[in-house]
Amino acid sequence: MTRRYHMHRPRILLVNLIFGAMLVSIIGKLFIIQVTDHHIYRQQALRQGTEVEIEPARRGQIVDRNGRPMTINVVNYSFAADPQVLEESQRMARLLSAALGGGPGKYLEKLRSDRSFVWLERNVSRAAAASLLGLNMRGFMVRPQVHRNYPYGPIAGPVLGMTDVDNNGISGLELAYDGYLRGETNRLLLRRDAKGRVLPRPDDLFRPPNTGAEIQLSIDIEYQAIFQEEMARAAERLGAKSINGVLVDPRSGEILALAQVPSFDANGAPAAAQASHRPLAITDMYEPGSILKVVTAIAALEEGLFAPGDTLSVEGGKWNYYNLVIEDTYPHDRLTLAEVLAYSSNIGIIKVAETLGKQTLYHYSCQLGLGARTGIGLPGESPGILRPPQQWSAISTGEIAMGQEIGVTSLQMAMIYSAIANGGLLMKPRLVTRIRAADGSEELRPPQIIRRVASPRTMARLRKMLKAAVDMGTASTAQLPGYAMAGKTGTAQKFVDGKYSDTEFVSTFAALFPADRPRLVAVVAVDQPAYGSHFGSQAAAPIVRNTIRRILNLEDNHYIPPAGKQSPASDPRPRLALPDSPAAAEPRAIAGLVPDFKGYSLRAALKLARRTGVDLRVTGSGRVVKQSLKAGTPLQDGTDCLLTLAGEELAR
Amino acid sequence: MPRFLNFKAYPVSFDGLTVVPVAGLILFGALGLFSTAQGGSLQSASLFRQGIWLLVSLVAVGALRWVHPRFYYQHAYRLYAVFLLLLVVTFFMPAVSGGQRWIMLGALRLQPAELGKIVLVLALAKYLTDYRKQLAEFPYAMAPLGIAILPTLLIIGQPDLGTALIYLVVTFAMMYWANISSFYLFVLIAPVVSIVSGFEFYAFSAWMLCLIVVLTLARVKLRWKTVLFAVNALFGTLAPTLWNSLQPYQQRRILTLLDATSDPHGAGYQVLQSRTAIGSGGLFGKGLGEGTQTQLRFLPVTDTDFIIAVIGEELGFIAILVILILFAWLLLRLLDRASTTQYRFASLCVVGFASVFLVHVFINMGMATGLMPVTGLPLPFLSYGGSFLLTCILMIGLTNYLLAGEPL
Repeated sequence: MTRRYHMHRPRILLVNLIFGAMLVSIIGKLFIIQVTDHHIYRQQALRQGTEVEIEPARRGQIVDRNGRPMTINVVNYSFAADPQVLEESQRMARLLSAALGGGPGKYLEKLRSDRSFVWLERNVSRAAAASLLGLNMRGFMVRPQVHRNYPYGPIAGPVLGMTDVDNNGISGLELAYDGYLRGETNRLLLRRDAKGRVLPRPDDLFRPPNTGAEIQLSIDIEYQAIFQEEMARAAERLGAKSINGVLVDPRSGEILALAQVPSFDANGAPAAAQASHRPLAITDMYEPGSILKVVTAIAALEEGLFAPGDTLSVEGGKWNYYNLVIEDTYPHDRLTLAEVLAYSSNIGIIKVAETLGKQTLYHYSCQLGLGARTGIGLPGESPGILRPPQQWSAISTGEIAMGQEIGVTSLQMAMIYSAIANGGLLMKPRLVTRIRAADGSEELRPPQIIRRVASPRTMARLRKMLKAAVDMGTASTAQLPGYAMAGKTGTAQKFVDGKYSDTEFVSTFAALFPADRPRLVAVVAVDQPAYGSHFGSQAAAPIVRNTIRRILNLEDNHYIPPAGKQSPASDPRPRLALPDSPAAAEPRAIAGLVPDFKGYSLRAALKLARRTGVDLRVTGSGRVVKQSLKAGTPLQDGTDCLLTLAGEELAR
Repeated sequence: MPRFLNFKAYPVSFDGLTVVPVAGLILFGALGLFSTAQGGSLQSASLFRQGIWLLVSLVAVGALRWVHPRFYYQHAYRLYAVFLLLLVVTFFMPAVSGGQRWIMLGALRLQPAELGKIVLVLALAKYLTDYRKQLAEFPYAMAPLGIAILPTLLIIGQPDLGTALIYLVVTFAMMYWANISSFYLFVLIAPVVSIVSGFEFYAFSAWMLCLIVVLTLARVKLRWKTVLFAVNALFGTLAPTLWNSLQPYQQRRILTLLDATSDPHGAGYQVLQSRTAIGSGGLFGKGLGEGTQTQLRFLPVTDTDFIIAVIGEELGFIAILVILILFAWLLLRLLDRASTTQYRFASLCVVGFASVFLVHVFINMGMATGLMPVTGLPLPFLSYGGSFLLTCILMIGLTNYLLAGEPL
């Protein structure tokens, strides 16, 4: 046994060595894979075995003040392919071009890519995609994607904004409130097998699909539609470059309509191809012209330098202001302050402003919110331009009094006129009234007062002066038979190539309606109406008049009483009692002001009192018919408000 | 009555040092199969079926006690003839998963190429024993190639490239063990190296230099040296030219045949997944039945060629190390026994068996770890597959019986 086989020893040794070397090389390779590079492969295995399923949140809706949805989520389809796997690319391209239009060449090029994932077409509507949905080809992928649609198209388009292909807000409210609207994307960690089947795991918690919050706007889609339609009609008549405007409820600062032409339809052509997707009333400033004269008038009255009846010389319609010749359209010798506004006398208002001095004018301009953003909460808002007095030239005081040398947005003007309408409170514009999360919780955005800018008395006087402007002055084109309107027109020369143009104008009109207890403030700016009908009275005022007339004809409009029947005793029903208006149903509670209790039940009145901090004393039962403190007046400490309640039928 | 059927059991003591590693390996195989059988309805039957095959194999080895130890030597050529016949028969059998490798007898599927490994080893050993005096002459030395080439060609036709490769390697190993001149073996290998190196200029130059040195030192007639050099140079230069004249799709087809990894969606995917499975197992594994790659079927065919990936993932590097140590133990023990016997026939057979094991282990593990191209060879004692398990256990059994036979 000890004798070796007759072979040479070296051969035995060599064979043993070869055997050993082969085994050792495998051990070495295994050591690298399993010990040295273990972490790499562990990661790889983890990636394969788990799937992060992204459950896209359903984007919340944007609804108008009456709860009508202004957005819809529709399921669109996107098509992708893995060109490395797809075999019949010729056929694929033919099918795609047959279903979606366009030549097959475009798709063939994509399918020739050496990548393993290409988008063929994204966001195709269900109708267009129908023939492709049933297609079952290796390497061809169909991905349903929720896409945003806007049922009202261009109506309020720039305000709503739009989303990109991945449903992220990229402009307007969609961008500003993206955090609320988008909801939370659910990320589920799932175990997956090689065939992509998802395996149930007991530790996966069931989570309901996450819907974004609903945003309720103060905008009334019907007002918006009417306003925009009237603008479109006027734009055609006037050949204007663009028109924009705002309708505001002066009591709360609620934006009822924010319209423009040309508008923007996020459903249609690509955004870049459309004329305007900015909300012009917020983003674009202009020199407002005569509608700004109210600023000087407010300052003069508030400072007590003038009374509405005080007269001043207007120099027969032609006057040298420094080296500038100022002309009035309607020449007079002497005018009262009221008449200066009514006839829009440039000479008159410059003289008033010069009496005030530039510091005072600047102070009131700032107080009224000029040169500052209103804080409406939409992207791209312009603060306008109001230069500090140090930078003013000698004629700046006069120019600004006339509404030149200053940049404003329509929204800024609307808030100034709202302050006139509501008795002197500068309101923060309120576009979003409430945000309702998917779980039902609500976040209210109550009206906000920025500051008191003038006394109610000053503003009441101003309303009268503005009513005169419509009744007998420059704004007579805005008259509505049977109703009292207050307003001011403006015709500003545009600053073109370093000087004020004689052919290019911005026509403006600002209105309060009804004149003595305004419920609506409208501001319209017409950019470059055709010369000849370029006056504010011709271009802008009719838009407001027609809009308000149509709003009055709306059936559900209860809160604008006919002017003729108006009397202090028959105060209109509080808007909050409107049953078909959820936004309005929210009690109007402005801290620091006595609320209007009339029509309230005792329970509702107590609730409202708690919110506003009013101390109540109550007599009678039923509904409130009388209150001892006047609604809208500032609260005084230690004064109780006595409410008189009476039976149902009496309250009617 | 033939002499081998005398109903006499020959007293054979089994070598414990061979049996222990084999038992260990079979145990690991059962663990791996048990794991892959979990959950999957298709594969749960495989554990049971493999158990049946193991039982059949053990009974067969036991039954061989009644066969005379010299039977294998005496009847090697006849067994070889039967084997060739069976290989031809496979071509008349219906194709299973793209190959005609099996002989179907009802539910039983037999793969002649597996048992053929034993038969080929026996036939080669007989030839190399009978003609040991003449092996110094070139024609006699080359004859084993003739014995191997017939079944090899039949198996390539099945097609089963992996097994065909085994036949050639085993033949070469046995020729080396039979002390055939190194120069003859060099002449045998040279054309292959010439063809492969022909694609790389520097490699080919180095190889030609090496060839010249060897031929200069060799004690052969100058005429033969010239012929040998010319043939090799021709092979080396013609191969790339021929290759380039092929159509790209033909080239691709050949490449896929030689290395399945070049098809990224087929076997390439397997290798990738196998490496991921083994690598993610780490030092100690994820625990039996806990391997995500295995259990979630990222590794599509786990129980045959990629059983080591399952074990590597679930039991870790340590377990594979133990398996490799068991293989090393078995193979070195077989080599030791082959080199200590005076029975030339048995010695050659055992070396043949050992090289069958080694090539299987090396190619299978190399494939699962990405060291080698995918050729689809099972791992002895561990992979699922009845014919191969029977073959492996018979080889171990025969090692014992043959070595017990007295020297001629």
